[in-house]
Amino acid sequence: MKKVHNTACPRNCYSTCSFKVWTEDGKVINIDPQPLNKATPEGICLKGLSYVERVNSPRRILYPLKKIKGEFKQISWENALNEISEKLTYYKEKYSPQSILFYFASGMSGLLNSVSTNFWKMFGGATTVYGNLCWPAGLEATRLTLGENKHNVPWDLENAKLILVWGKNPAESNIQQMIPIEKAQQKGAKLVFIDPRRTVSSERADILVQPVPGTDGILALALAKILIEKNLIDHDFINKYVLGFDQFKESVLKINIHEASKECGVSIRFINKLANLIGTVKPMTLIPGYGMQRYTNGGQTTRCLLALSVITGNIGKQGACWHYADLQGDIFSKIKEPLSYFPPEKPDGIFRREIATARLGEDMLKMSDPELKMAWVERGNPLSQNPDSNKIKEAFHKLDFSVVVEQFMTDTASEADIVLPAKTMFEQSDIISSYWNPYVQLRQKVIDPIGEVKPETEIYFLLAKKMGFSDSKIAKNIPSPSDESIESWLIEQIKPWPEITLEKLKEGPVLTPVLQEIAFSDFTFNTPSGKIELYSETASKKWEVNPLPSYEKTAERKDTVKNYAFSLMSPNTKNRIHSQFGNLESIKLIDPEPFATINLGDAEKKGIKQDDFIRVFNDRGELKIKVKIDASLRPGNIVIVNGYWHEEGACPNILSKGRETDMGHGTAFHDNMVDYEKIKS
Amino acid sequence: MNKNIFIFDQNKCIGCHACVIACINENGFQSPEQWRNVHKSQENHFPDSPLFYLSIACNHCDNAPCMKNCPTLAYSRDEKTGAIVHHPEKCIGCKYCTWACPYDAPKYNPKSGIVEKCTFCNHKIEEELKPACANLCPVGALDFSNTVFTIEESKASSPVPVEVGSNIKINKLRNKSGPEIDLDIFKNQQYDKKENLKHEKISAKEEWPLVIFTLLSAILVSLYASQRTELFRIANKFIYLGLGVISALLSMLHLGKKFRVWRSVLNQKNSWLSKEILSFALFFVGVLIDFFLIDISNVIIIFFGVILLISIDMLYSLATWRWPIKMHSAQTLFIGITFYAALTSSYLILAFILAFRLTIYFYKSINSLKIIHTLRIILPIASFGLLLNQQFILPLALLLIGEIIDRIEFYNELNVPDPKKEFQG
Repeated sequence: MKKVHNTACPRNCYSTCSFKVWTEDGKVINIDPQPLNKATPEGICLKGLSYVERVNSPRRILYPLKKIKGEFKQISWENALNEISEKLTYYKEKYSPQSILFYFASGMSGLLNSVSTNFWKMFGGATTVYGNLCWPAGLEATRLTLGENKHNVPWDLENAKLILVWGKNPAESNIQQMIPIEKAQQKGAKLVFIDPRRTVSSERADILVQPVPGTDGILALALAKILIEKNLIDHDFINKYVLGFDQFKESVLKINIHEASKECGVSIRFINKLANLIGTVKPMTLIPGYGMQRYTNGGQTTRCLLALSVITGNIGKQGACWHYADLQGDIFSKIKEPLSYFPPEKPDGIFRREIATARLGEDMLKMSDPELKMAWVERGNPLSQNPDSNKIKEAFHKLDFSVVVEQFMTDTASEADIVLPAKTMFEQSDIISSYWNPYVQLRQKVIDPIGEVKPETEIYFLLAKKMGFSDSKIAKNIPSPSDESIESWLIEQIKPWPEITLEKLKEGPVLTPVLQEIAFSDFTFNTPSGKIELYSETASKKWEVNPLPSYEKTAERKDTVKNYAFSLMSPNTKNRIHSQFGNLESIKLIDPEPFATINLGDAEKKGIKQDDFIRVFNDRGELKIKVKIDASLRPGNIVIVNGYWHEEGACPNILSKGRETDMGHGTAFHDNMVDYEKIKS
Repeated sequence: MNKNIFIFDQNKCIGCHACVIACINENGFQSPEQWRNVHKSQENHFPDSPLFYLSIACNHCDNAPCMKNCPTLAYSRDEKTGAIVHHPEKCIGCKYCTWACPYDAPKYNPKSGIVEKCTFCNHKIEEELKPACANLCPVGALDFSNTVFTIEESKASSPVPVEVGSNIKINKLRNKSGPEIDLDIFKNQQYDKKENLKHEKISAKEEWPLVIFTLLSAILVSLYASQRTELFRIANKFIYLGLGVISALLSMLHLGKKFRVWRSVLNQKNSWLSKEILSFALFFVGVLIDFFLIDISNVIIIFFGVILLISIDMLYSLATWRWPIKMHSAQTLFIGITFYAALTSSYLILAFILAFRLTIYFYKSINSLKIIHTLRIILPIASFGLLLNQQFILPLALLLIGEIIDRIEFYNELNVPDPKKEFQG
């Protein structure tokens, strides 16, 4: 019988769409929109739609697999768990629990993910990583300035009169944001994009400014200088709510506009044009993306941009906000991001958190006393998604044993000794929130796991039993596998919030109980001074950066020895969430093979034509890839979207360096200079 | 009166292809071609022009060219929903509808040997639901409505300048120039604004069996007709009929479902393809009877032959929409008359028809004269001269070479409306 269920998408994506899923005889058969979510009323993106294929794909891993003489063979759960528990016991006793790396990433969100950590704690500990691949530099910059990460509800964007999208391509990375952008434009709003690329998002813009990648900070400071000089700032707002404006003013007035213009590659004419819009059109919503904070100067760059919203008083009002990340929906974390990413000041003796996510390969190889002997990877594909793939490969090869929990045979799963089949979002219920829309949502179980798939909680439950932990200890840490037990575990999590019940969540998305529709409309800022901190003591103490927003060249542009001439940009594509989805037949219809995008003039200089193959290289590695020419990409850049697998031969992380951002323990893999040449056929 | 229509907003579409996946989820996997296509306004992304999209499948036209032209009556209109429904069990995979449709909606699937196309999600409309693509567009760019939609509105919205009563309303782009950018950044690149659109749907290379079939038909009809004058005899009737059989087989070579070929005569009312096939059959049955059974009136058989050639010429008329004059020197009727005149030594007729055809030819190729054109002009003139000199085989051979060149050019000049090309042009 056909049945329809409410659910929500748990991918690491802004939109976190609500949607309805149809099932028939235990099979996912179709998808419908869920209009109750005001941020995603029209429906889910193409990847979400491809779940119908993804969950039913014949290529899904449905049984435990063991690598025997280089080839994966199906084994029973009994054998898999026996072998894993023996190995765990062996490494624990011989080397200590911290000889095991427990690595997870953002592959599937949900509160039940904490059960994994519970298991490893119960096991006696493990080595884990600190930091994050994605957005911490910007989160930390925002936290230092505004006190916390929140923004106006997504649908407030239609009230903006100036929308300044800086380094973001919502048409691909946050599709539904295009809805309020279009509504605002219909109401006469000005739309301005800043991006070295000319994306589909910016096609509808009034102005597109195309700076050199990594120089956004100096562009923002130049704009701030002009705004201050022309007195296009909000004195009242500054006097009331801002700390350090005078120091900031003094510092930006020293900027030479000509030098700034040369540095960022934006003409003075366009800088003035932009300053004029920012200074005169109100309210302004500034939407910074996450890409530009993945440079070595990412945190300070974010602070420079945010300063523009601050000095023009575009915070805490309808249509005016700093639209970076909204963590209001995350009511569950005791320590919110980015603080949860930081390594502990005092180690707890259980988890060794000494490996930076950003330097995964390098740091894994460095670990001693004990050395790493084993890795357990779930919800992640570090071999293609973390920087400097070659180092990571080396580190994984050095291990004695590794277990990967996966849905598909990814680059990382291929390296494992045992692969355990991972659930999809339809095979276990969980609760998720978003960093863009303000809803708490239930990701409902709608079918029984296919094949012999078991949710991670069940894997850990069985493993704990196998390893002889007492029932009471297990019960304290891991819910038993039954649906009822999972539901009561979830109910326990939402108990502090009487507004949220499982029944309500089953009906559709529920607004976060702590929602402030217009963020900071109470003008309360959770900073040490209680004000918006343009001048941040914490920034300089904690991260050893200038207490004021400031610009410094990115590491690889400073490096005049290597002198690779092209910035490799590795943005997200609408066809993938990181390394997920690209392997599906329906996605391949639209995006059949990897390609690099280069500028037409650059191509002409290098004698490269559409569909030629090029070799992209730097000191860290090289890849061969087909070319598409884009006459509107700023010269000096090459774009290879992130998420291509090594198996496809085009993973950009073969070229990127494992390096942390200036603050927040983010990953500066966009700071990546390369060169390329035509492959003579 | 209300109609079911698609509504597409160029200001909202971001080319994400969710509509294509939505269609696949609803109607099954589609490969190599998808029922719905998302076209880009330009491939190279030139800095001084905008990039936007067109999502298009079947527009379920009031005067649907696919249905009108289908020889096997494989299309019907669902009067309740307005959907143009394709019936796979009736389709012979002749692909004629893929030429006829200005929106490229019918897709030939080489795996199944038949055409497939958007169903308007008829089953959903019947339940008062929107088609999957319109239901699931994540930005609301593609929608569906039951509303009043006049023929004028339809014409104004049609993505291709044809008047077929297409049921898609298009909200046109507001910002037609793209964002203001600093063009100085791009001053070092040279570019030719002409997009390189490679693929033409019809070409002589792809359709070579049809080139031979149509030429043979014209020659066989003219050979038969020439016998009337008593000046000419078909020496070997078996070779003649053998050529007829080869011709028939060639015409079937491209069919996906050859065993259903009998269906192709069913649409005598509207489809010139149906008329062509029926008149071909009648002509050769007539010839067969005449040759081996009883002496029947030549006039009737020749009549079928002429109808055959007219039908062949007419069925290509939907691929001549961009021609300045809807006539070509290589139309089979002209070829037939030419050979008839040559075979029967009717010099006046021959002079007239050759002059007429050369005029058309010259008019068409005046802007692009190449060596092949000179050859095409010299060959018939030389042939005419030789015929006047009482030679026979050589001038006919020269004439034939000329006709082959001309017929090949005819196929290469054919073009059917193509939404992608229109959109990018």
